[in-house]
Order: sequence, then C-alpha cells, then structure tokens
Amino acid sequence: MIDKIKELASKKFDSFEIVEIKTESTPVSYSAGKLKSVNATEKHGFALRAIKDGKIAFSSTTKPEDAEGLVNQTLAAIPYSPKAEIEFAGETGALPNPSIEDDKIKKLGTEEMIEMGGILVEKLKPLHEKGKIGGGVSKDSSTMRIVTSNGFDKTYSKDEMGMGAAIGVVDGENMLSCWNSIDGTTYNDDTNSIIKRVSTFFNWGMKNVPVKSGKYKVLFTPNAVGDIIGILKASWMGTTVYKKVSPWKDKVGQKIADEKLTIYDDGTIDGLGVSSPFDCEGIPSQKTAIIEKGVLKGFIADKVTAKRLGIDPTGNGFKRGGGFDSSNNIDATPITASSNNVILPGTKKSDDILAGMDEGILVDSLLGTMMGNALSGMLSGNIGLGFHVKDGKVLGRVKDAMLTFNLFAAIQDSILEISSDVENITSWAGNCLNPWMLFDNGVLATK
Amino acid sequence: MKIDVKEYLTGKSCDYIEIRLEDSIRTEIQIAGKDIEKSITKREYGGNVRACHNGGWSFVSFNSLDDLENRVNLAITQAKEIGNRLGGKTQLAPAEAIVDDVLLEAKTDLREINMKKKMDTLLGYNDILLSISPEIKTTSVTYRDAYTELLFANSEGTKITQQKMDMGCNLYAIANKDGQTKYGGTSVGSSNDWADLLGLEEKLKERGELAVKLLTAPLPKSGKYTVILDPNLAGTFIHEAFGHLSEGDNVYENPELAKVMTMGRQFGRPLLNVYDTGRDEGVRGYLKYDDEGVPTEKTWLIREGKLSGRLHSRETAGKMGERATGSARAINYKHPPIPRMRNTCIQKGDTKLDDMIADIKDGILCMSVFGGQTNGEMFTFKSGYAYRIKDGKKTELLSGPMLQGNVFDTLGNITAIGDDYIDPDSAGGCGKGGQMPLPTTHGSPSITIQDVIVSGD
Repeated sequence: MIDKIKELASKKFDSFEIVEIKTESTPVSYSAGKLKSVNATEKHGFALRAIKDGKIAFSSTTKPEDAEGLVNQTLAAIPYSPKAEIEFAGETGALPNPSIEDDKIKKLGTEEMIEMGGILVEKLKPLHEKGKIGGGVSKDSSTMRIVTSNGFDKTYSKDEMGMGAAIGVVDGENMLSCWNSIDGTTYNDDTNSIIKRVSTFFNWGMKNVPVKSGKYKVLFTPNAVGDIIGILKASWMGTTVYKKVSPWKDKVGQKIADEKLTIYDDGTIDGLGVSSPFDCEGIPSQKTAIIEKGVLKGFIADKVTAKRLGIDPTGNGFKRGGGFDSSNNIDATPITASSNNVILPGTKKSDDILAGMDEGILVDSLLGTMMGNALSGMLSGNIGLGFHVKDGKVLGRVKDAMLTFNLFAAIQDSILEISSDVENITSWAGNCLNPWMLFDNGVLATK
Repeated sequence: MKIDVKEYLTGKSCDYIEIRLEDSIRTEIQIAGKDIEKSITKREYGGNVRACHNGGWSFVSFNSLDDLENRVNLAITQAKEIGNRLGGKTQLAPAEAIVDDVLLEAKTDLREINMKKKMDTLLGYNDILLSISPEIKTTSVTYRDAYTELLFANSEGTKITQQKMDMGCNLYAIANKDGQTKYGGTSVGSSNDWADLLGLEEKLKERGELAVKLLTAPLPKSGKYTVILDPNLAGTFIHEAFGHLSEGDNVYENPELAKVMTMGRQFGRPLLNVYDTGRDEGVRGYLKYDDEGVPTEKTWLIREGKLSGRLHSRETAGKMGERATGSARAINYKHPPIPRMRNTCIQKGDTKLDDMIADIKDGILCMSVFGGQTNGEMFTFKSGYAYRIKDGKKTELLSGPMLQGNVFDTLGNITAIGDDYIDPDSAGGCGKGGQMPLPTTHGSPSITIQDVIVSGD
C-alpha cells in the first residue's frame, strides 16, 4: 500500500510523508476474581501528511488498499489546512537504538499470561473475603514505518508487556480500592511487586482516621508524583511557550526549583514504553534536560513548534489522540508530547523517608488534579487514596479531604526528600520514571 | 456496508457470537487564535467478532474484512478455552431478534456539508471571539463530526444496519491578564441537525465579554455552602456522580456495591427523579439500538428519591436477573460494548430559579463546568464561573470554584429542583475503560444542594 500511496501522492503534492502503524495486542483479563476474557486486537492504518500550495494537510485511513481514498481526502483538505511551516524528514545519520524489542515478550503465550493473571488474583484474594479483584496481563507488538518524499524511510518495532491488579471493597458507603501495575518493553513477570504494593495499601486503608484541616508534610508515591508531573509539564511544552502562556517562557537559565530537582524528557532509555529511535516525524529521539539541579534548561517541541520558537526539534512530535493515551494513533497529527518523564532519584530509600516522617499525609491517588489550570501550577485534588502518618507509622486512611499545593512555590521551597527508588508509572501525565517525593506545607482541607 | 455475515454465524458450536462492522468518515477541526491548528479527515474502517462460551469471552478486532471466517474461528476458540476453564454458564438477558435497516433522517444532513462550509462557519465565530476585547488573547475552537455506517449481526438472528451522524463543537475565548487566564464560550452538538451549529454569534459575544469580566472576579472563600448548580453543571454532576454508579458492570460482580445500590433504596428526597434515555432524538446521546442490537429505552434510575433501575448490557442484566436496557455501547469497532450512559437527566422540577435563589441566605450559584471526576464515592467538579448569593439575591460575579463531596450525602442534600430543564451538548464525551469520547448527553434543570465543600480562595 505504501508504494501505491507514494505513486499517487507524488503526482498530486509538492512533498509528502506516509506513516504506517501496525499493532497486535493480546490482553488477558480477570474480573471478580475469575478469568474473564482473552482478546486479540489488530490495528493497521496509514496516515498521509502532504504539502501543496504552501499548505499542509493530513488524513488517515484504516481501510486496506484504499490508497486512492487517502490521497483524495488529503487533497480535498489542502485549501482549509494550516500553512506549511516545516519540511518532512530527509536522509538521516545514525539514530539512537534503545532496547525496545524483546523476544521473550514476542514468545509469551496466552497460556502463560492466563497463569500470571491467575497468580495476581489468587494472591490478593486472602486480603478480604468480600474483595472484588480484577487484573490482567497484556502484550503488544507494534511496527512503525515513516516514508517521506525527501528520502527518509525507516522502521522500528516495539514489544510491550504490562500487568496489573486491583482490589476493591465496599463496606456500607465506604469504598476502598487499591491497584498497581507495571509496564515496559522488557519481559517482566514480577507479580510479587504488584501484590506487595496492593496488599500494603489495602491493609492500611481498611481503617479510616479523622484528620484535621491544616498544613502537613506530604509524601507522594510515584503514582501521585504523576499528578505533579502532569501539572508542571504543561509549562515545559514548547506549545505553551510559543503561545506565551507558559509561566516559564522567559526563565531558561534561571533557578526555578530546589537543587534536588532534576527532570529530563528522555526517549532513549532502554525498556521504557515511550522510547524509540525516532519520533512520529522522523526526528531522532533524545534526552532533553528540562530542569537540572533546580535550573530551567529547556522545553520540548515537535517540528512546527520548534521552528516557531527558533530551537531544534527535540524528538517529541508524537501522534497522540485524545485522552491520556501515550501510544501513537494513526489518526492523529503529530503534536508536542512527552516521551518518558524522568525525575532524577535522590539518596534516601522511600521506606526510610516514610519511617522518618513525624506527622504527615502519604498520598497515592488524587481526584480532580487534571481539571485545574495546569499553567497556574495549582495542584488541587480530593484524596482518593491517602493515609495519615505519625511517627513514621501509618495510622489509617484519610478520606473526604482536599489537598492543595502551589507547585511553583513548592518545588522551590518545600521539597524535603526525593527517594532513591523509582517506579515506572503511566498516568494522565504520560509515561514517567518517578521517585517518591516528600514536600512540606501541603494544605489539607477536611470536612 | 453490504457484507453477508450470516454464513459466519450459523452452524457454530458456541453459546453466542456477534459481528460488528463499521465504516466511518470523521472530521476534526481545531482553531487557536489566528491559526488553523488542525483540519483532518479520517476514515475508520474495520470490524470485530465477539464470542461467549460457558461464560468466557473473547473479542477479536481487525481492519481487513477479508479473513472474517478465521477471525470468527479465533474468537470462538479463545472463548471456549476460557469457558471450559471456568466451566461457567453464559448468562445473557434475552433480546428479541431484530432485523432492521436504519437510515439517517437528518434535519440538516452532515453529508451535505462540505469542508468549506464547516471552516467558514468556525472561522467566522473565531473572528467574533477574537474581536471582543484586547484582553482576549487567544481562542479555542474544537469541532468534530462523524458519519458512520454500522452493521451488527449475532448468532440469535439479529441483523441491523444503521446510518448515524454526530457533530459537536466547543467555542471558547481565552482572556489573559496579569497571569490570570479565564475562559468564556459555548458548546453545541447534535445527532440529526448540523445547523445546530449556526446562529451562535450573540451568545459568543456575551460569553467572551464574561471571560474578560472574570479576569478581575475573586474566588469565593473556601468553605461549606448551599449551592445552586446551573443545568450544565447539574447535568455533569448527575452523569459523573450517579450515572457511572448506575452502570451494571460496576455492580454485577460486586455484591457489596449491589447492596448499596439496592432497588428501592432512598438516595434523595422525593423531589429527585433521574433517568437515562436513548430516545431523545437530536441529542448526541440518541441511539435507536445499542451495540448489542438491543433497542434503547428510557430507563428510570431514581424515582421519587428511590433507586429504580440501572444501565445494563445483556451480560450484566443476565447475571443480575434484570432487563437489558439498550445501554451496551462501544466507542468504535476496536472495543467491545460495555454499559454506558446515553442522555442522563435529572427530571424537570417546578421551582423557579428566582425562588431557589430567594431561599438562600449565603450561598453560591455555580455556572457551567470545566470537568469532573469521581471514584464512585467522592466527586470533584470545576465550575466555569459563579455568583455569590446573599440574603436571597444573586450578587457579585465570582471565578469558578472547585466543588467536592460525597456522592451519597450530596444526592440526599438536593433540596430544590428548577423548572429550567435543558440538555446541552458539546464536542466532548464520556470516557470509561479506555473508550473516549463516547457521544453522551446530560440534561437537567438548576438544582439546589446543601452543604457542598467549595474550594476557592
């Protein structure tokens, strides 16, 4: 099909870029403590970006052999399309080569996945006789190919494996649910880490404790640090800098955070979900420093945003659709988006940080954090799963409480600790390698 | 889609098989400030087979329809593999075998509107928004439409083809001054009339001016208040806080939640009536058949304050011994259908908004909504803007605060329901289980709720 699109497109456009994505996924899922389904999904589609009359149009199709339809759709959109500000990728030198393929994932059979899911579910069952347990194991294999009229023709393949489990219990109007998952591009059958985390939080959460409104130290788990990243990253997107709405737009080189804080956007790390040799525009993946020892170093940008900002593209042009999906969708145009968000770990183990807390809140999930204006730096959420900690001990679950931080101030003045252990989490913030983080002065409002 | 699927469904030794095929042309336009950011057309073409045997499910999806026979066989093999392991029973609520071809009967048919007309309309609105005030620094215009042909057939003899249209648009001015950013705009959507997008000029001017005024509007002091939610916010509240709780898949395998959600249980005062319907023609949540081929209906969720129904797929209904409600929906062929909402509504009451305001000594009238989230038991919403209510009078304009609370307490604290019912649509949609945005609608009059936690200043 690519040859046919090439043939037709070269007659109609000044230049063009064809993207082909093929993905096969096999998810096995458990529900209510029992095996529920084994699915097989296959996605295969083509996207065309093309330049004519100074405009750049985009169109996609999942209909096999419909090269003509795709080219005609694209041509029809030309008059109403954005001005062409970029050129498509040309011949390129060496590309980074992160390890994102794994034969063990390729060979992983349904039978083995059913077994792993079974272990997760069975080991969580003893936690509570009325617990509702769900979980699953999935594997994905995908191939992406980009071909341009400027001589770029590259392909990469990726294997991904993920598993997760959750337990929920309803006791009157008290609902508790705890979950954990692992994802990556290397085979990982560590069911124990999931079981351990879920069990610990579940046991802590079975008892509700009253907490007074006020200022507290707050220890964010790697999952909750995802909320912090989700809000902060709005300010390091090249797009918000270009639109002049990022409060960091003129602050490169300035100290905006505590020295302990270093954040990278890095698409070249072995084994992480959003690593690849190149982005969806054929730009080599790279490690981009955002904040180094508290100093703002730079932003991330797709090709058009980079051009507008007068910087080099950072390999962050990804075909992301709606929602919080961090995989590439054939029907989306490339936009500036994070690869893997990485916070540099500190020196103290998370267990020791928790043990050293005199009094505070441990928070694993927050509701509503993605609804505020991220560019204001305000983190404000109803605590979904959080605990009251006193003298290093977890006393019980904190409920009906709203936690608020002004993150721009908090990352300067209130970072107490960053853990040495990190976890790979996926959230609305995308794919992150997050440590645990202890902050001072969190504002808690309770009933 | 003229494909004979009958041969793939007959003579198979499997409890249940269905095939769903889709061919959809979608347009997406995004304008920001002076730039057309996106104007794309995409064709979504593909299908799936779902099979169930002895209670085990398999779902197989694909883009090429060439190999349908093998896809069906793969689904059956996998369903049997699980079913035989489980040794369970396939429990699907009964559904009548239906043969129907549903043609699109639109007031203004999307297929007759070309890209030029769409773009001219949107750019015209964008110009209006930009010219309101120098403080309007940029705009956010999002437009989506889809024309879809669907074919659904199952091993019980149902075969339905449907033509559908869907259109949604959000138009916002973004005002910016001294680090403050405020939004003002409106949204529309329709399943049968593209022209719903027309004639918004005056409304946009008014809302754009509001965004500018909000730049200097204070947030209310945080605390517990009696609040009035406008229809938009009340509709979102009932969707997020109660609609999701009514979805059968959240309840059917969860006996403890089922206990909380027992039919007849008092959730609100007798004035509260809530329903979900697929039958409101024209709204985005309208559909004649769900994605299991079950005719949709008006399902009462709360009657006179008491729980009276929930939203089911055939499986969740079958397992709970209840009726399939035509609520099994899939966002596209890449996903299996799951219980979802259609148009979720608080029924119109008889109190005038002015009287509701007059009854409040110190409270907040919250208008419009910027998003909401719930975990079943607790909810958080961000309102667009608000007014202080002081001694029974609507007074000062306020920036929109966050509202939060416990779902169950809050339903019980609804003390007045207005007579100003509307069911506004937008370009958004509902997300669940990785399926987003599904075209849903929510309708409501204004409602008064006591003791809501408001986080403002």
